[in-house]
Amino acid sequence: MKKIRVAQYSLTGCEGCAIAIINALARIPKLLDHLEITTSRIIGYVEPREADIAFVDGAVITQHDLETLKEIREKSKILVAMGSCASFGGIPAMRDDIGFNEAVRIVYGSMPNIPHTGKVEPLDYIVKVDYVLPGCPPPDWELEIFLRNMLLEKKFVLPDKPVCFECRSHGIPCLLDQGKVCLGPITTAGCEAICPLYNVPCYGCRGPIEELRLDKYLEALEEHNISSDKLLEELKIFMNKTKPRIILEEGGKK
Amino acid sequence: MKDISIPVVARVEGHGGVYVSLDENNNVKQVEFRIFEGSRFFEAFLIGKRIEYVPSISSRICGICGPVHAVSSVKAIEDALGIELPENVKFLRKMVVVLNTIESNLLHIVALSLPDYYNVNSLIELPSNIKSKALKVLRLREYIGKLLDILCANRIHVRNIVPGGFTKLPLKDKVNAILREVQEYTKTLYDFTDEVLEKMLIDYERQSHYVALYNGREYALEDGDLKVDSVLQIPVHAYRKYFTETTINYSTAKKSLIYGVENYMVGALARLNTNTRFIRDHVKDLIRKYNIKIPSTNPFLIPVAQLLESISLIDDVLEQMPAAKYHPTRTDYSIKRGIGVGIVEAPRGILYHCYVVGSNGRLQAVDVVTPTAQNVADIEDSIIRIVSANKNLDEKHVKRLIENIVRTYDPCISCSVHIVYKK
Ligand code: SF4
Ligand code: SF4
Ligand code: SF4
Repeated sequence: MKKIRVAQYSLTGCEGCAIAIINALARIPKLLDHLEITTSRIIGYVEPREADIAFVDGAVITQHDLETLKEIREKSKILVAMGSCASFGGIPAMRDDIGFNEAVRIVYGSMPNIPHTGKVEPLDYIVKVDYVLPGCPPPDWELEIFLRNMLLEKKFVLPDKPVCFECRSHGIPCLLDQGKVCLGPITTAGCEAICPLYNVPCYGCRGPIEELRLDKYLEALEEHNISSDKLLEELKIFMNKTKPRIILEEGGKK
Repeated sequence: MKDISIPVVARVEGHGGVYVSLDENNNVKQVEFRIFEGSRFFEAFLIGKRIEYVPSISSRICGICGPVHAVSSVKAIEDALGIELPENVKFLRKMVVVLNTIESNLLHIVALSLPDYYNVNSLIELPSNIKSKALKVLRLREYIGKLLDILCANRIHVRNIVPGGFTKLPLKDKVNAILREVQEYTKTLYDFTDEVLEKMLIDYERQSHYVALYNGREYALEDGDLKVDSVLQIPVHAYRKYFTETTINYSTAKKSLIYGVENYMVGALARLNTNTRFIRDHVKDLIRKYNIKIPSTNPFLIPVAQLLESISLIDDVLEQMPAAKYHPTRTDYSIKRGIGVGIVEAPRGILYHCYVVGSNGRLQAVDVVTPTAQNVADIEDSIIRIVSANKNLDEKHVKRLIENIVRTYDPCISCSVHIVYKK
């Protein structure tokens, strides 16, 4: 069997997604019989090379990120946006509310000579993305299923149901009933509702579901006497650049 | 020789390169450890955030030491609010730091450093007998990771650490079942040590300062004062009086100095130097058997120190964790205005979070100093010495030496970028 050539790249993020890939390889060393790692700085291969699948984590923040991403696209058959930063902006997009110049003023005084684009962009703002594996980091099992599907030349699809679905199937008491803002109803499932399982609201690290029913969700919050201000605050953790936040703020302005 | 440029250093976490400029006699004019990792500006966007969100967000500073960032962060909040934790919660917080340290150490030793001792590019290319031993150590690391998964919901980014404790803790039986696996796999680390330790001992002498936590009770990772060269003891609240930072134009990380002028090292070697007497006897035997000189500021011994402390810490985990209590999970607190500091030993050394919490329960000011930012000046100092001492080697060899010295520090670059709150 021909080995699949896999490349792993980290743009600007925390590289937890790169570690998640290393962990999967360590957990299933047999994978290395079927995969050839062509590029991965952390594994030891810096040079961008041709690959069948490229996993790219982090958001596009520096000029270097931007150029690298375009090069990756040219050299890769399948490009996977790995993690929340790459898929929809995630944590780094929190900076959007402050603006680049103000952030520089707060952190550095004057900016070091490292060219930043001034924006925080997920991969699909710049290039065509073939698959997204959202999450901060994406669930281990999802990454494993994804790799297996690729080896079998099968497509991969994300679950099209919300986190609540998995939460209920685990019999977890709903956090909305405790007056907490939980983004479970509008967030893509697949994480096994790990946060509610640990008694923490879902902050939406997997991004919004396709079939967003924001009106229904707002009704549910109202029934639980939860203000939409607090909702907006939570959307500003991971979902800064996503539909629910945009709709909510536009709605708010009316 | 012309100027030396290594645009990207492989097998480190984050984007960093090295630039060395030389004069006509090959004397080093300047060394720059260039960090061009993009800045995510955590210190800016954490301002205004509600304290209960802050530890989870802080975890995202780094994908290798996320749990430790969360602990450092929550300690700063708890210090600001004067929260006293239940004993069992304190213990479990410490375990989070210990487990994260072991997990990160093992990754650095096996996947990032080891290829250098065998002159290959990656773990994948190691000689097969070494590779199989290395992969078994990664298996042990996997169980350490599983312990973190169950304790904190996810080993990479914790979810349940909040001011006052944990939102929820696992059942004891589940933890103990994984502890048995850890016990089982611990011998893989002994096998590995027998095979590789000799090769990891690289002779090299140089002077520097070293800084680590110390509390006189245990191998300090999560609680204590700062100890400099095992002599000077500084309370954590005085950190900013002794350690200064400056913005440098070739890097998105800032540079830290002690007493305003001198470089210093933090991390496993500094810890081992400072806390030698608290490591396990059989690890002390190893130090004697292999004739390892401790204290030392030889950066090539950093992976050795990581290995030795990991062996010792795993024994601590196996001995102490079975008796852990998982109730209560947290304590109540009330919001007030305050300033707080949280210092812990991240895998790569001293990690400092300092916050001003407002009376509205939100952060008003944020100051974070990471271990790698503190090591930058020491790394540059080591590069200068290594290049100066090897003027006669060809460029390829000098480059290799520079990469080796950078990797031995195990720099964590994502983590180092995003530094101070400017007053
Ligand atoms: S998605 Fe999360 S884990 Fe992945 S790089 Fe971004 S911050 Fe790190
Ligand atoms: S706790 Fe959150 S995810 Fe679970 S059912 Fe309630 S809203 Fe949905
Ligand atoms: S529950 Fe929500 S925040 Fe937690 S992992 Fe799942 S999607 Fe992410």
